[in-house]
Amino acid sequence: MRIYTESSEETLRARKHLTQWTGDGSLSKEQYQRLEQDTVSGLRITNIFLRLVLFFFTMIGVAAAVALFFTIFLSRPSQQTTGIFLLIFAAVSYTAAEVAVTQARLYRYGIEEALAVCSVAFLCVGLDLFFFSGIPHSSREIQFVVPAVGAIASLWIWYRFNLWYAFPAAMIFAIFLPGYWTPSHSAQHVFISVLYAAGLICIAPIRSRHRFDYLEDAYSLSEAFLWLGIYLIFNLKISALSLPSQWWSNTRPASEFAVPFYWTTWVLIWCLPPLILARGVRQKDRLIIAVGAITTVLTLVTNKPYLGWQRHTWDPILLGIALTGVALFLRRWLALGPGGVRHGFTAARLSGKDKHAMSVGSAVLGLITPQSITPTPQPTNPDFRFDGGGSGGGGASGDF
Amino acid sequence: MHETLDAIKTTRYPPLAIPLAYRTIDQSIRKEVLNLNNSVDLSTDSGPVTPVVADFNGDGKLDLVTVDNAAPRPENERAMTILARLELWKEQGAISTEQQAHLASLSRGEPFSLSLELNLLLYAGVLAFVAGLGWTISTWSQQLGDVLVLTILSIILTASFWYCFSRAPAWSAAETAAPTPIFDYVLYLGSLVWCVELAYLENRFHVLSGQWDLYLLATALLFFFLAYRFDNRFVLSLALSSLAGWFGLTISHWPSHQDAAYRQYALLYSLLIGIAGAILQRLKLKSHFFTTYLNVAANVLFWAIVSGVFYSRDHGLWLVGLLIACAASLVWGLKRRQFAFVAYAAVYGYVGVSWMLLRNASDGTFILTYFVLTAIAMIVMLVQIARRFGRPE
Repeated sequence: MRIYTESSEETLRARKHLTQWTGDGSLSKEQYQRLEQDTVSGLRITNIFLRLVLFFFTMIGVAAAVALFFTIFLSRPSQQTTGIFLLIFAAVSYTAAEVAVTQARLYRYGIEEALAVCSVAFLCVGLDLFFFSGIPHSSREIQFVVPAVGAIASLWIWYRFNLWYAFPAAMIFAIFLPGYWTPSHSAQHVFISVLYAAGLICIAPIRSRHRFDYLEDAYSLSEAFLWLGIYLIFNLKISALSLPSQWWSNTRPASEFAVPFYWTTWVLIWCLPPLILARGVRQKDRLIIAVGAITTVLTLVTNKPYLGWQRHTWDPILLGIALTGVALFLRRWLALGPGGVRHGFTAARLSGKDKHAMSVGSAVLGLITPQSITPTPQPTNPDFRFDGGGSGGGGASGDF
Repeated sequence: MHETLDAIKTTRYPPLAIPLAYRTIDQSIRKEVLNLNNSVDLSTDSGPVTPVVADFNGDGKLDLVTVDNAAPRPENERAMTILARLELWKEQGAISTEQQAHLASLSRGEPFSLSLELNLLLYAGVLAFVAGLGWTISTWSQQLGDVLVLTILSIILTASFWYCFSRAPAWSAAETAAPTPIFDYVLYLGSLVWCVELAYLENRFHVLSGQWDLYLLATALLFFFLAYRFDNRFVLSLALSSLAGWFGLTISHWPSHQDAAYRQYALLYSLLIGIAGAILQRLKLKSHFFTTYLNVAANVLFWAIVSGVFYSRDHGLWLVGLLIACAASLVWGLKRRQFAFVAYAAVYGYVGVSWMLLRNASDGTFILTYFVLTAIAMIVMLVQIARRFGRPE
């Protein structure tokens, strides 16, 4: 069912490990050259930059080709006709993606990814135009088919091509589903969270069978997205304003959340972060630990609005001190363990990959930080006002 | 593909680990009998790798063996996890027992390093702290009073820089590691508090009223000094950002033609930091910073040139400049295997050239045909580049 063989995936994974270990100094250059021969794969691979650029140009090419087809061959087509042709283009795009992998042996090359993404987009728009254009508002209940098909198609792309971003795409499609069935926002939140929880229940046992193989990362990422999705759906201070079904239907919430539901979610946003963190620590899963940390911070940040308490300007200071304190305590506690290790965890850096990530991250963050934290200069204003602002200070003006 | 046997044997492909190479033989393999007295051209399929010369079949003649990289592997080939591979490599003697144990434990996450997470937590903590500090001061400064605000900021600033200067090892032109795990974050804190204090001073006392840009220049110089003294990329980025702010604010005082002036100063800025970075690298002064200089310079340069193509009256001149910049970026990217520069050349170049060609076009069919054909052309070109140069790095 998967388009790449296990052997190919494992070989590429081994090759990546070899490069990393050689960079870290765990293997010598000679060993690398020798072992590299053992990780030769028939797949064509490239680096992240060319992958992104190839994705970009393939998207442009496909979109322009479809638009050109409509311009040349169909003058003022009906929506149903447009829908039919988009469905055909979805099939063509998907077939092209399959051919790009099976014949040209492309692997994370940008081209086959863009084709797969286009096929899902054409499928959803085509379905909507063909089946539901011109249908009166009362028939909206059956329009859930469009996001449902989008979610299923995205899941298929995720499974078949092992493209990580197709999984969150499926989760986003799923968010639109309950909006077609019920106007109750509480019910919508519950439905989506049940759907995500079902995903978790399905993934958990599958994951355990893929410990240390090439699928470990894919399932780890999916589980992390599901945990994050569940948290964001339950945190009403974040999700109530951003539920995409509300943008889609352009409607305001019909009613406020029921009081018991509201307080249940408050309890849940405090319960979920430790649960996620515990799961991440138990599984030694970096991504789930990261989600646990993010949700913890989000809970701390949104707690006051939840309770209706007033925010204070020094809240971020306290948060900063708390985060720094936790980091320092954990580092010290781990470092004081035998050999700098406690319960299988260490604060020491074991991989050059982390160092590289921090180097790139700090360079990028350094460029954007001044704009986000330093006040706007107001040199010509004689009245005193020390304004918080969006640019300047130690940083660049918007023009740079 | 045609190869000369002598070349294969003596220069390009020295005999490697024959048992390993032999083990990888499968249906894709190509064998040819060698005649060592004469150079012979041999044909292979499109992706020959790891050629090995040896008498594999014991017939007394040397065999040339290559693996065909382009051929698909058989579907039923057994997948081998990284742990199984490590075991195999140990048995083959390719890695030592200690290496196998070390690498296997790394693969299993034993021990599991939380270094990245703790660093991110520290970064987020410092950022939240300084943001809260700025917010509190801007809201409560009148109640708190200048003396208290400046005292608090100065204490934090002094303590941060005292920590850094007292803990830092002797300066070295080479890359140096931070002396303590929290060192970089204390330096961030000091640098960011410096920005807040400077902004407060100017807003409260208008010491250099109307000359705000001088603060930015002073800040940029201080940050450059700190970045080079403590070998810190984050502070280097702050310095580059502050310098860009100085250029931007300086010309914002000018009454007219700001777009053109911004473009020219953006060009000047990118050239300045590009040349400065190159000189510093040549002098081997923190040469690992060069990539940061070059990426910032390239992006500012491309933005300036593309904006010239879009909005300037001298479209043609800017287009020529864009093409030269793209060619330089492409050559640099391919030569140094820094594919971000190949991506810059492709995307910025495509956007600029497309704008020039399509700015007066109104025929939808022509425009769409242009995008289809040029996208295909770009894909073909990039695939060729990827096949020839673009291995994962």
